[in-house]
Amino acid sequence: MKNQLRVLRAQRAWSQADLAEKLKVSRQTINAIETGRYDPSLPLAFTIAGLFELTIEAIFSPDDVEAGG
Amino acid sequence: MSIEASKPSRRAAGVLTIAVGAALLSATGQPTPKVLARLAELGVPDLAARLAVHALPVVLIVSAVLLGTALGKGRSKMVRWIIYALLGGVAGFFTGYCMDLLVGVPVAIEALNGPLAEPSAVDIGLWTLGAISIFTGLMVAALAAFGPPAAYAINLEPDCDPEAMDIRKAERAIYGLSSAGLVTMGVASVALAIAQQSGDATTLGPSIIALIAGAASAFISIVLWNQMDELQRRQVVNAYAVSALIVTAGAFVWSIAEVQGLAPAFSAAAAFVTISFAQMVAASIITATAAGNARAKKRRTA
Repeated sequence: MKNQLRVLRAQRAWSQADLAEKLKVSRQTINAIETGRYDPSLPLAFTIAGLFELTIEAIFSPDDVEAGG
Repeated sequence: MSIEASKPSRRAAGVLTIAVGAALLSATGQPTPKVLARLAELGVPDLAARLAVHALPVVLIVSAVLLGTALGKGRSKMVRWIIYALLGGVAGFFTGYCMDLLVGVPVAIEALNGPLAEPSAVDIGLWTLGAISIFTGLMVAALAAFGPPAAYAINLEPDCDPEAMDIRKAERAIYGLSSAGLVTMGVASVALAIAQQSGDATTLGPSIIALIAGAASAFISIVLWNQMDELQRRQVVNAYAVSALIVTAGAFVWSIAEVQGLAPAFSAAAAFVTISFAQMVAASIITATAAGNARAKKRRTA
């Protein structure tokens, strides 16, 4: 899965630790999601989408599809 | 939050920590008689020889770190760690050749518990497991107690992710629990080794300590599990699954070798050491895989 998490986070000037605190997960989890090493569970994906006020598809997409497209 | 990880002062903190650790290690030991005899032959006074040998681990280990950092500059992480391992191995070999380290530990234990028998291979495994657990637990305790300064003090990597150094209160609480779990696990392993090496009359004390420490470690693990997020839980489950597969296959092969008279009977302590090491290695690899080599994967995202 590809994702826009790093971009969305950068737009808000949040560090990984800031985002981790808001999502109540570890910083390592944010890093693993951003670097494509871990795909979040559906509940966490919904929480992420809710935080950024976007749909899940706008943030996450399969490797061969551009997110939000 | 932006922290410059590669500032020379930050990296100097890592080197200084290594030097202090090497000095503490040196303080636990004493020069080997053969090295002192060789230095005496060369005309070195006894006091100067002892001081020189005590200083040797600090010089060797710090030199290995500085040389490794210089040789590894600009190379891939794997090559850098191979260089560190090789130079560390050389420094460790010469330190071990010149000094008997931790000589006070067996003396203190025998004073408290009575004489200890020579350790078997399983006992050495238990001691090693205990030492690694306690040492790692103390390092993690430093992260829990001091946060980012401790992370810089134990970091030697020149191009580490600055975000990784942003250790906050919630993370420090997890580190605190992990540290307690590791140290109690280490104490349980060491106490079990002491119980195995004790005479019949003195096995009860270390056995009780092992039992209490083991129960504390298990309790802390449950508390820790309840505070983990989904990725951390997945890593734990994956580590247990991988280690279970390895240990099951190993036990099967060993049982055939045992029937054929090619391997000795496997004790419960040996099973404990084997399973614990397998879990430790599997957990380290799985955690490092999720956290490491972020640069290569960044291309896939955004």
